[in-house]
Amino acid sequence: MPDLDFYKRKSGGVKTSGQAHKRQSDNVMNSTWWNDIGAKTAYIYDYYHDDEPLIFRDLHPEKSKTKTPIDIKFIVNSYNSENKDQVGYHIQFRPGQKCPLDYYEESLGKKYFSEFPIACYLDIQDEQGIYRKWLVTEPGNQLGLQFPTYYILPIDHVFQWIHNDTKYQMCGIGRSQSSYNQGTWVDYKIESPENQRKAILPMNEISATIFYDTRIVLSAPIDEPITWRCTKVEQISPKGINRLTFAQARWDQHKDYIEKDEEGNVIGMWCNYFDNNLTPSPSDEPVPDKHAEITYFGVKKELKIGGSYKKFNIAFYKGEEETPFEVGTWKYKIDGKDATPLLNILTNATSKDVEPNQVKLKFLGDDRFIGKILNISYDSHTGVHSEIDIPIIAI
Amino acid sequence: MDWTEQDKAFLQQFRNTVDYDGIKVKQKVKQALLDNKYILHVLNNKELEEAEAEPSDYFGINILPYYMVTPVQTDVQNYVTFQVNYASVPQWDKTKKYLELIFVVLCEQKNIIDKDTSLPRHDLLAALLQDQFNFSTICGHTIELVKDREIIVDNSYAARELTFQQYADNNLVKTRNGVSKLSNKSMLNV
Repeated sequence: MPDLDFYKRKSGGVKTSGQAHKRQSDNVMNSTWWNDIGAKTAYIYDYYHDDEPLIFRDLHPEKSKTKTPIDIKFIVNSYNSENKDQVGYHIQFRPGQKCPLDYYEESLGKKYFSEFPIACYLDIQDEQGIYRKWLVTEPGNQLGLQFPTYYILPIDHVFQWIHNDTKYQMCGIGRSQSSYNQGTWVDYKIESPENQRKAILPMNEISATIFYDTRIVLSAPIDEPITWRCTKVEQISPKGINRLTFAQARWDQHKDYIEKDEEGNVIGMWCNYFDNNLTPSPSDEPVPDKHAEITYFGVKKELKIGGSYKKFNIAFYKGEEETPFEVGTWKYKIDGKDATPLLNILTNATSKDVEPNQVKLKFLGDDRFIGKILNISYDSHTGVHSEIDIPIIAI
Repeated sequence: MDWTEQDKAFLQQFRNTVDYDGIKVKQKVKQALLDNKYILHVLNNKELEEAEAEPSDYFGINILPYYMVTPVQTDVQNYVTFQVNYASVPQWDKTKKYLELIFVVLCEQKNIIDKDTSLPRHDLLAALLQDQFNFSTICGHTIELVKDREIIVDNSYAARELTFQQYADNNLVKTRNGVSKLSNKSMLNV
């Protein structure tokens, strides 16, 4: 007859009957995991480890080197109804599943105080065998339950926006925002569109650049796409998720841009693309291992006619680590022609408050140069090149 | 419709025009404000101070040539806005007009006390504006403070409105090809 010692060994040393039952339930859940029709192997990762960042259907995570496989149960607990947003589903991990992403704590946990797996993307295979991208947006039934679940929503849009002359793109979820109005507002003399939408993105340094008044295009590729302006930012509901509300804005034919490929297919729709005569650069442009970067002092990337001196700085890098300054030559061009006669230039040799890796410029040209771009480049003697375009404006 | 460099140059000459007071006076006021380091300091834009910004960087952020504050106010900022109006011409002398230069100073209530003086910031900015502009000839003729009142904008901002008045020429000058002349000599005989 089994004795007390036998039961103590069987229960794994737990102190109470309740704990023993829980442990046994966990074991049963684990051992019968694949009996459940909703059990799948999904792939979990964050924004920075997404090697298919611009697609959310027909993915191939099994070939990925950055996505981590994880067992889940996919739980359908509600169904769609007409004219409402896509409903979310729940996922459940194996009992005792720890976070398999060694970068999560550093990039999300400590930084944005989120708990695994909030803000993670999941590639989940549907019943047709196609992998779709999902985002873990909230704890589902989590606290106080033996088998916690998490709420996921399918990614349905690649959001595109421009910040500081850099193009950003990120997979996220579009949601409607009920607004009981006719769609336009007449403000004494002018009629404007009136509508709202929401977006859900994982919280990170990239999505944090969408802030109040950021404009984006959320539209079909029509001649005058529908643009939106960010009017509400909620970054702790829950922690790790960036919820944004947008109000409908006006398409600016001077600044907004529909980007097409060589075959005429729309590959991007951007607001404020031509904000200051500069072409924005992609955020994921590859950078050589050994490179240099020219930066400017002050808050605005511009040079003023009749303005005071503006300081520029060059820094050298190997990878992400800064390396010592390399001697070289500064060059200044407007429309491809040498612009040195139009500038008063202060260097380390001529001014005490200019370091060897800096230069101070004052523009001497007249109003004819309003709207022109000053190209500042630096070529080091070891062949490292860097350049920056600065718009010229009038005060 | 063709657009040439000459057309662009024609438009650009309006930056230095003496014909239209709306631009002429605003350009002088803008430069005067940007040259006043006390006003820039009391505007208390920490981000610009830490970035070693030029005085001209304050224009468009804290110094505005219109009374309209956009975009969405997400951080504590203070503003000096200015407008140029004229609404009336004296009946007895149509070659003159009463030009008004109106400053509206807006200071966020959370940052209302200036640390250097313990004065309310909007009052201090108004005092600096009066010090700089009252009885000055910055705008060509002597301007005089004729109204100074505290106004309510909303719960967040303490505001002061200062109106300077100038007895100025009534748009007599017309500039063509860089040459400015009186446009209608018959008006001088009125």
